[in-house]
Amino acid sequence: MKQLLTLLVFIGLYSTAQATPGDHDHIEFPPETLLALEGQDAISKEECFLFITDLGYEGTESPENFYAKVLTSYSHDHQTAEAITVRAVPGKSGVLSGLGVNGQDQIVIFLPEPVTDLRLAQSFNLKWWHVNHFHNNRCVNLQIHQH
Amino acid sequence: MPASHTLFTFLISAVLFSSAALAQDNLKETLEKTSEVSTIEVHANTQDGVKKEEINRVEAVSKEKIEKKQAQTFSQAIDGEKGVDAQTSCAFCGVKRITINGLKGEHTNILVDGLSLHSTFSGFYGVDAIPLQGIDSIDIYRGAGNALAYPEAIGGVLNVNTKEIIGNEVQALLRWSDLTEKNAAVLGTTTINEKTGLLLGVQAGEISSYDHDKNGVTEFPYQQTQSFLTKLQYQLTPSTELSLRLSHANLNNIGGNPDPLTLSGPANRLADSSDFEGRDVRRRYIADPTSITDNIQIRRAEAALIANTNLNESTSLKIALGSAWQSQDAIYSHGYDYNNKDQLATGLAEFQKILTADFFVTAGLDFKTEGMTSESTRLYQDLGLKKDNLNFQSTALYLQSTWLLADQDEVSLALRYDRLQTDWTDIGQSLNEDIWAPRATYKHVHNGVFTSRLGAGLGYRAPLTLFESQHGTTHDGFLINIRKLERAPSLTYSLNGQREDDFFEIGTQLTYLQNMAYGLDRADTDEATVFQNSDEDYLISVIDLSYDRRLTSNWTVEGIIESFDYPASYKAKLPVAAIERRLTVQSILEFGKWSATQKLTVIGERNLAEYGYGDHYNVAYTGDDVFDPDTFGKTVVSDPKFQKAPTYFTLDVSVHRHLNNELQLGLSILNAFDYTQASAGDTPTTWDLHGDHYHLDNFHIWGPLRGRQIYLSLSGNYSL
Repeated sequence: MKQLLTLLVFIGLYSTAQATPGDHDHIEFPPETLLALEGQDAISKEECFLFITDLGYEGTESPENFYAKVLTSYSHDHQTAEAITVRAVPGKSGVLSGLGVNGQDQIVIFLPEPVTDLRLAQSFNLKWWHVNHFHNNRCVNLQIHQH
Repeated sequence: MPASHTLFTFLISAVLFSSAALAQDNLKETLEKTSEVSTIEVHANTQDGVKKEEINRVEAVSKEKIEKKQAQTFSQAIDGEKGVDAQTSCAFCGVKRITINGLKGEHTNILVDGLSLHSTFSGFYGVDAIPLQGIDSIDIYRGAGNALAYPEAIGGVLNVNTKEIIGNEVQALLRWSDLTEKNAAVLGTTTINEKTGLLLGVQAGEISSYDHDKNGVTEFPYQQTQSFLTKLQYQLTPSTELSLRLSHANLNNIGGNPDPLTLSGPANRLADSSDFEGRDVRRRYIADPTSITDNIQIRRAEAALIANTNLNESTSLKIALGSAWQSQDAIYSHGYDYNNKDQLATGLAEFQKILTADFFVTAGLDFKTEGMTSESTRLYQDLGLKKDNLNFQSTALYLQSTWLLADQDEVSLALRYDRLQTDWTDIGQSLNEDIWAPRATYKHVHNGVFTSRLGAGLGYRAPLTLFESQHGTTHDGFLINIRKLERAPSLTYSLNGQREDDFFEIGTQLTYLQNMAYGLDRADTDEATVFQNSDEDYLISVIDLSYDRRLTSNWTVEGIIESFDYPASYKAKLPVAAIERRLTVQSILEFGKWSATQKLTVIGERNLAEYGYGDHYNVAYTGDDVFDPDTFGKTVVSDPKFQKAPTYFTLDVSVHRHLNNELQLGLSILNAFDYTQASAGDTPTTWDLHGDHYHLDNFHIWGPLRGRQIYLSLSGNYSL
């Protein structure tokens, strides 16, 4: 069953990616975006985005081997968090999580349990290091961006 | 004194107001050559208080008064004078803003011997780099009308009169306090020959940081000062005297961290709430001290050449040239560095002529050029913000005339035409405006006791940089968008009464401030602060009442009540809460070799929320458990800082004893009640909430930041 869901995610993302290369008024979409999810910042209510730029399996096609490379629209002084690779978290169903290459950035994507279809992601938490301090951003009400 | 002599005394005194003491001496010489004025006394008044002979209202602070204040810096020397407040607007970096009549610090124009050697750049930290040991007195001109032909003067003018070389003498001062504060100054003057006099002075001092609540975060920074001063006076001809003054000063402020810590660059990490026990700024700081450390280093050099010449019996000419170089190297705990170099050149040529016994004129031109370049790795290289580099130029012509209308009435009119040009070279903006600034004062002697003075005039100023307005900003930096000159018509009135044993004065000052420059904080949206003109106009008013009385032959008491009134939207734009009500009672008792001074100051309560303190909290944190969808990213604040500053009292007491004709020993207790806002439970350190996030700041300031200090001083004055 899990393998089937993962496969659905994989196929779904690729098919959706072909339809979402668009731009936005002031959000720069990464050129390699496969899927963009749009939501609202939990505090400011401004729009926020989750971009999936790569995904696949590390080894066998099982949920625990699934990975996705994600970026977000959060920025400060024209700087953003680097891409983070998210994976399933052992013992925590309904979340994908990843640590940035700097060892400090961290993202958690919340999905409806036990589904791991990124198209169904509901929200994400992003903690990222910017020059000399952390930013904690939470984006909710995610939906597939339709341009 | 015969009436005609009195009139002449008034006339001569009025001439003196705009000249350095050197000019006074020359004019006196000139006038004394004429038979009809041979007995005139010229009042080179360096006593404290209102200069009674002046047509405009001028108040002098003497060197003796400065010493009794145990002042080590210029802001300490001038603090607490009527209408004047030396505000600390940053507890970490110790920046001082000297305000007059409730205006902002940048609206106080500081002159040295009549030369405009300071600007808003030096005004931010550089006022504490003015060498005190060479000061003879400081004249306070409140409002543009009283400043007459002096430039700018929105709030007023402080004119520093440097010491004249009269004979051979040496003055020395040593001072220690229980808070490990120490200061040493030596100043010597000598007449090398009949034509030449030389002054040399050096000073070094250290003020320790102060952390009343011992939580590892200072409320007052460590301050180190060194200065060197020399002045050469030369009688070129019997009617021409030259004066050359050179000075150099270093100022080093280190705050935040109680241990003086010199940083090589901004901290790698800003202070966060987890750095304090219980996330509470009142409790112990337990993290890396570099995150709360400010380093400010000022280097300042000045040169001034003044020539005074009497062209004939009734005409004198003053030519003065001056230059100042100042560098600032600053690292702020807000996570950025900011260095600048400021070069200033100024000069004036002033022609004075007595046309008739009751009419004289002054005509002059002055100029000031200033070039400032700044550097910041964080603001400019990392963030890509434009530099606030600028070139400023002011060229002015002025005319001033004084009439003696009758025995009781004098009028002085002044008109300045100023061409002000500011180019922000990196930003690509400029502000070029010409301005006419008319000013007038009227003095009426009601009778042998009462005198009225009325002053009116237009003050103006070219805003230059955000740093003149407030202490830096958040790590988002700042932008400049200044489109207009600041303008401020003002009106002042004072009525004073002088009897043999008492002096009374009531005064009011009204200032209507237009186009005020201020920093628009946009930290809520993580955007740079914008330095811009306000669309609103503000009426700032002050009423003061003072009474001095000699109770006995050796006991004098003085009381001053001041009330400052500010519009609400003006208060909200001030960097820190201003004084609204102040009562000062001072008594001086002298008996034989002993003298005792006591000064009680009462500051009335204030609503701090009106000054934007509503976003100040002792406790703040943001949920950072990235796996928790309920709390992550949500900022929680609690325990608001004081929103009402209570009425408080401070008491300064000092006793001095002459050990012999030359030496004097002093014991002073400043802030004898040991009252600080930290002791009242409200430190200046605060979490400052911006929308959904917060940062550590140190500008929750409303009361004394240093506690009781016990000073021992030894001063010597030797005539050789």
